[in-house]
Amino acid sequence: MLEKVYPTRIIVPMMQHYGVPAVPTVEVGEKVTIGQCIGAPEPGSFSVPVHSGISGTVTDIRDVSLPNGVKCRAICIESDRKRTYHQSISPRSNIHISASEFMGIVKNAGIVGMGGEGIPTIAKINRARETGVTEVLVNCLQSEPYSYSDFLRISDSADYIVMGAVALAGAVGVTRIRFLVSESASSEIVALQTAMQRTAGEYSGYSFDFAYFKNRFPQGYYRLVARALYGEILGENDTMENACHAVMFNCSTVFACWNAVADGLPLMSRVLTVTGEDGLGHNVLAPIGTPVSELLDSVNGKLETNNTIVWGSCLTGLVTNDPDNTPIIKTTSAITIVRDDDVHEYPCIHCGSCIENCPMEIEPGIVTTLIKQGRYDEAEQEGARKCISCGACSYVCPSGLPLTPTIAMFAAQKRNSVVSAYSTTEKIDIGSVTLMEAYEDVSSKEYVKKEEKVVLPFEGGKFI
Amino acid sequence: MSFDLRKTAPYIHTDRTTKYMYFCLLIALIPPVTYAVFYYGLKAAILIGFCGFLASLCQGFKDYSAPVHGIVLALMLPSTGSLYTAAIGVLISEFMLKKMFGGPGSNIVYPAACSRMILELMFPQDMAVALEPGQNWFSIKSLFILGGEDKAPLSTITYSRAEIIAGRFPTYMGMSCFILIMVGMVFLWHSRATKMGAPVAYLATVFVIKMLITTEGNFFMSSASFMMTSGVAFVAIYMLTDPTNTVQFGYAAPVEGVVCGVATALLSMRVTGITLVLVPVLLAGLMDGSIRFYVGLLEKKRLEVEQNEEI
Repeated sequence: MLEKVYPTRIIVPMMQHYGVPAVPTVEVGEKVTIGQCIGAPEPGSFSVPVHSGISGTVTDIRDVSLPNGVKCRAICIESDRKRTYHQSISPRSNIHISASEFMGIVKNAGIVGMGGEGIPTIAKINRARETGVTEVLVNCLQSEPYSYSDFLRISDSADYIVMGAVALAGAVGVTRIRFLVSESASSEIVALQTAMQRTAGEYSGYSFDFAYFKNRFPQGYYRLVARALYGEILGENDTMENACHAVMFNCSTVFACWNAVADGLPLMSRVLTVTGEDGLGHNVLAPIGTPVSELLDSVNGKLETNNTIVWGSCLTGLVTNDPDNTPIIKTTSAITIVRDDDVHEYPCIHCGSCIENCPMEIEPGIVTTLIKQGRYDEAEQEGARKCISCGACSYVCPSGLPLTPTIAMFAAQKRNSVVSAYSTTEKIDIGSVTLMEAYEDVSSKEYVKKEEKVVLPFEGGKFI
Repeated sequence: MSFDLRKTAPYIHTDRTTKYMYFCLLIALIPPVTYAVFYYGLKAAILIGFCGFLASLCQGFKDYSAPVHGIVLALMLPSTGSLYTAAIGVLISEFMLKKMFGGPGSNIVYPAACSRMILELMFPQDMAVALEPGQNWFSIKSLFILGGEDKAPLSTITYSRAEIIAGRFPTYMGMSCFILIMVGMVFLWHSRATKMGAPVAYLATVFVIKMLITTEGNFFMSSASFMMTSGVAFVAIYMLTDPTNTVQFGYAAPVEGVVCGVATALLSMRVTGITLVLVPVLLAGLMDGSIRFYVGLLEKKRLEVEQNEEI
């Protein structure tokens, strides 16, 4: 069951994606509505817009530190409890749009990879078009323990996912769509099949297919999908588009794309799982920016816990020590409460369990030993940089050794990671818009003319 | 940027910890311990308890590996064994074979097996005697005397098939009760604490090769009798399932089991007694690293070949 969360406030970071942060388009004291663009990309920057998921007043624009190490500006909005939508938001009656229109909608809706990678979806579409892919993959393989947000989205909105997949395939320029599903997810498979049958008549030019996978973590990771589906072993700089001629989107991302097209809604809320100790086990639809504390309060009453709050899932998430000021972002699929049990550490017994369970075929026990001994070159030769931090080795290690953090910290040392993400531009003035107005539903007779027209700097002079 | 490793992902952990594995091995040892106490009485109980306790004192009650190795050692001793030889065996096992190499998990051979072999060399006559089962149940005199009492040969020639199946013939305390050892195996398999690839491969290899090399009599019965009387079942279930000594992953485990089995079967043509079963275990333990390395290498080569064929 999907529960809806109506927070009293949200904290919306300008950087929730791979790239550079957006620039605020509102100021303190300004009233905003649901769907309004509150952060826009600077001209020419690799960024996506950010929208408000509640209506209310901007109370602060301040720096936030996210558990993933990103520091950026964030817009704090206090809810007015009126749930006022932006006037331009309305369902689209004519959903047969061109590929370029669809791409513009996806770009302006601020859609990013919601499975965790955070890559702007428009960038992936562009890359897929440039590399000439032959099929679109829809990743329905949510295999993290206790995380069911994607499953719920599929069960709840299979139609939108199928339509979104068709739209993405059209934008990319392919007709073949494959849904990657776990063979045990029978209800989700049925939901998707039913949705395909309903759309079959309208989109007969597209072929739909399923690829069944064993329920194994982290099967949804792109390199494992490439190996399983195409037999390709991707190197560090390889992409699925180049190596496998396929582009993969998370099912929640696909849903968000069609939600933007059909309902005119930018990406401003998402389904996530709140799970773990203290009797939790909820799938909620919450506005992006909802503080973790408000999320926990709303699903379980006034929750006070001495357990650890994890921003993310129990295998790959990050601890948050400040739930009041830690918001959920576009890529957050779960909030997990875990017991504060210390796993007792024993000497390595050389059982090989870590080797058996490593999806990247590293030997974690040996690599960890090399790293601890300072033999970094040898650790690299053994494949330490291939580690994807899935946590499988640490989970199965009978001796409770911290294999994942040791290897992941080493692997992350030389990667360029943006920690402090600030733009020199303080604010972009675009008025009260969602950005979706640029792609208005021209067939709608109820289209409301804007009070003022502005030139969006990143739309190449397009008026809205 | 520094991290507190205790507060980093993953935040859940399998229940199959080292402590759990050895705890299950400890439970799986209950059938042969029961057998030993039932047939050999109070001295068996004291000897087994003494070995387990002394081993735990040496290493501590951290992960139950010490009491497991101590009890396994005790079960390989003759019922006439003394506390002195048992103590020497435990101290060799815990200090020489474990601590000197870096503690639990770093030993290169199975400590109890190697320690038992050393006792065999140090006290050959004391290790070569045994009581008839069911005699002198309350007598504990032998615990305090080197040399034992009531010498009896370790031979099964005069015992019936039923007695062999029941393990009712003079031998080492816990190694002959084939059926009860299989009960322990079933428990270990059900608990999923350790993997059965190596012991199953070992037993199958020994059985098949023994059938092939038997020159007279019924091949099957001869091989079966050997399986039940030689102690291979004990070695398979309690030594080849130990994760610190036997590679457990992939097909390296069966490879190690086969290597051990071939060595046992071939040695049986020349050697009898405890040496027959322990030398191959020690050999397999020494080869463990090499088996692990070459299996890993073969696996990498296979992936490379598959990749090259694709290109």
